[in-house]
Amino acid sequence: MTSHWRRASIVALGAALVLSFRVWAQTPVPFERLVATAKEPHNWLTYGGDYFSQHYSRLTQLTPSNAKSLNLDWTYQWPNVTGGWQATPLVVDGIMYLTQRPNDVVALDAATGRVFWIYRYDNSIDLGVCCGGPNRGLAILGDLLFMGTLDAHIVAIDAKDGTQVWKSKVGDSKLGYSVTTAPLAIKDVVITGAGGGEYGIRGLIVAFDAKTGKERWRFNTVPGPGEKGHETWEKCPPNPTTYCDPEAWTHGGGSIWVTGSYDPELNLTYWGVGNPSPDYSGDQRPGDNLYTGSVVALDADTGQLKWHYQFTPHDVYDFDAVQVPVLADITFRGAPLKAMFWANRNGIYYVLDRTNGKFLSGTPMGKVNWMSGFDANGRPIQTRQPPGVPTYPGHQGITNWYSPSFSPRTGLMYVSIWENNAEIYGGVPVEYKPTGRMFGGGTIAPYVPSPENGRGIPGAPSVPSLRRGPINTWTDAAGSGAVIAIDPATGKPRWRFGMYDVTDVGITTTATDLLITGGREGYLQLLDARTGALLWRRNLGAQMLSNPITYAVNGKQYVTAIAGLTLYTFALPD
Amino acid sequence: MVISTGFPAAGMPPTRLDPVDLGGLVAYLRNMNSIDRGSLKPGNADRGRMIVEGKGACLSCHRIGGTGSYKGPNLSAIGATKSAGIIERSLVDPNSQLWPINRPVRIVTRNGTVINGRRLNEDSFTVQIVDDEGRLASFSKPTLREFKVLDKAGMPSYKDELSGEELSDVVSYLLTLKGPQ
Repeated sequence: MTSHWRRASIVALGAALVLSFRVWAQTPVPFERLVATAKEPHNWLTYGGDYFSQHYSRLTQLTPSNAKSLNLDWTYQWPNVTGGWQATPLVVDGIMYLTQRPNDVVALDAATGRVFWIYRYDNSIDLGVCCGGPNRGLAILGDLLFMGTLDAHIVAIDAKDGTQVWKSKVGDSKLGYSVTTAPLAIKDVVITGAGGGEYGIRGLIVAFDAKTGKERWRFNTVPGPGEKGHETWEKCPPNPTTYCDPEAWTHGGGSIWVTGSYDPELNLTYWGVGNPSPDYSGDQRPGDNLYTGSVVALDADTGQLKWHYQFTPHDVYDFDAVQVPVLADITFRGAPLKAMFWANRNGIYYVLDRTNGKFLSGTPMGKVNWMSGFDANGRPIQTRQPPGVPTYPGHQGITNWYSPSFSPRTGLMYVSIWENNAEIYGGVPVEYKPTGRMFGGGTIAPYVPSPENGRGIPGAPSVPSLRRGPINTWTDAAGSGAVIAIDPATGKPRWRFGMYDVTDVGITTTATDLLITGGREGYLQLLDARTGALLWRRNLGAQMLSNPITYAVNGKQYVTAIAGLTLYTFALPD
Repeated sequence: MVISTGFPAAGMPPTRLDPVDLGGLVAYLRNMNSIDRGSLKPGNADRGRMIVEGKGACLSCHRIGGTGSYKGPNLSAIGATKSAGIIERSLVDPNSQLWPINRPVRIVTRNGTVINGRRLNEDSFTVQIVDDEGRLASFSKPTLREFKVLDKAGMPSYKDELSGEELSDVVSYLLTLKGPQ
């Protein structure tokens, strides 16, 4: 227990007993606190829980033996939320900070759910945002909160009263740029990136001065002339047999829509880069199309590229590599390793050396037929399926943006996955127009196999990409979900917890070997992180679509998850 | 209108299209149902109705306009949701068109009661069905002795039961069923 937390507890206890009110010790959150999050497990200070994005909590009050006593403690509803509520809250010294659609921020008493203030952001009417237009959360540094907006800005908000301090532009929303990711605050900058890979943006990662909003550096995820990697946007042949776009790189995608990680010792920040544009029409953008489908390691002070690894060269499946980079120091093949674990949308679980980006291993997490293995350099050997033949996985991937977890106690990596979900891809050339409209370049047809012969059943409903209602008409024939525990060094599965429907819910593990997750069906579930055994579940009544977290206030541990339009917070009985 | 304004309650964002593209998309959507015409010539819908309600005994499993059984899917709006080709193939080769949700299920409860029916919904822990008697029932799957989803439809093929002309008549009748107007 840190000293400021001890003081907070004493103050709170006294207040509760004598005055019936609570005052938390709300000190600013400098960079040093973000580096040392392990010292204050009652808080959740970054999107990923810590700079290593392990989604691991050191709280110990809730255990496998008492999990069955978990009760609903409070709820918070926001009736104006439409679409999927994908936000992950921050919790700072008894205050919960939460984004709600489209771009509001609310500060709540994390012990009761009562509201201190709400910040409302008025988006431009020229929105060009893809895929439901969510917001995934906030960053905090000092006394400021930072949020990206659907109209492609980033705003700084006073954490005490919810007033806007500055606002800076990330991209042009008329051209399809948006910001949906939670920013990452490092030292004295706040880092974010632009979404819009389906609308033909040219992606970027950009750092702003946290106090002034002035741009410090930017990294183009699609390099231009003179920038390293531009050569992978190859020139069109003299007489192409199909449409080829000589300016493909100028609208080549490479969006950023999930928060990166940071290694303070190496001073490198790692970000996953989205798909190339157009998604499915690859022939019109010849080459590997760097840095789409890649992880990039950037110097946190300058934005200079230190290394990259491309998971899906020349992607034609919408396999954004925007998953959370999970960092851990492990023993790998008998030697210490500064590792990066990456459960990728393309279906492969990777281990990289995060000091230099060296590919160490890649293991399928399920059925994969877009590739058959790796060459000596760690480049996937691609096996494009013939027209009309289903490709595994479908465009939502075996996993996606929701956070995996690594537990230093169990030594296991935990991933929410989709199983046996395939689609039939069809690229169609498309000419780019700078209008901020869909620039997909093809179709993706559902594939629901008949149990008799494996042929697709015409018209049978497939797994919805983003939203589902309370009735499942597609059934497990179209795909199902699971949480898998992976030996991070070998990629081999240790256990599997199956779900009937797919899951878009992240995972948090704890120091008592609890695993907290959920699924599209609306069940919040606590599993034994060592065995995968179900310990507790509650039907929250609506689709879950975000990352559950755990935190503590005044010594009481809470579990928070969002389902539908409601945030639910559970705790053990007093 | 829905394309232009979106449908926020369902999470559908507005999509900006120029008038030409918007018109083309609407035309495509309106004609989707007629793309798959099947192999049969248009028949006589009145005769088709007589077959459905008589010789075909379709209402012993299906329901149309408040009459019939709950064993199979309700056909009251099948003409608004299915193409002629899909309906034709459903008649001659039902298994090829059977959606997974419509596969019959067999349930045996802990006390040995056998229940046959059709799924309405299912999740990891529960299943909701309408049984062959038309009763709604919900079960906790871990408590069941047996829960089996059958691969084959309970529906017979009408390939040899009806003539080509009769099949055309039935398809023509079913295409007139658009649900409550």
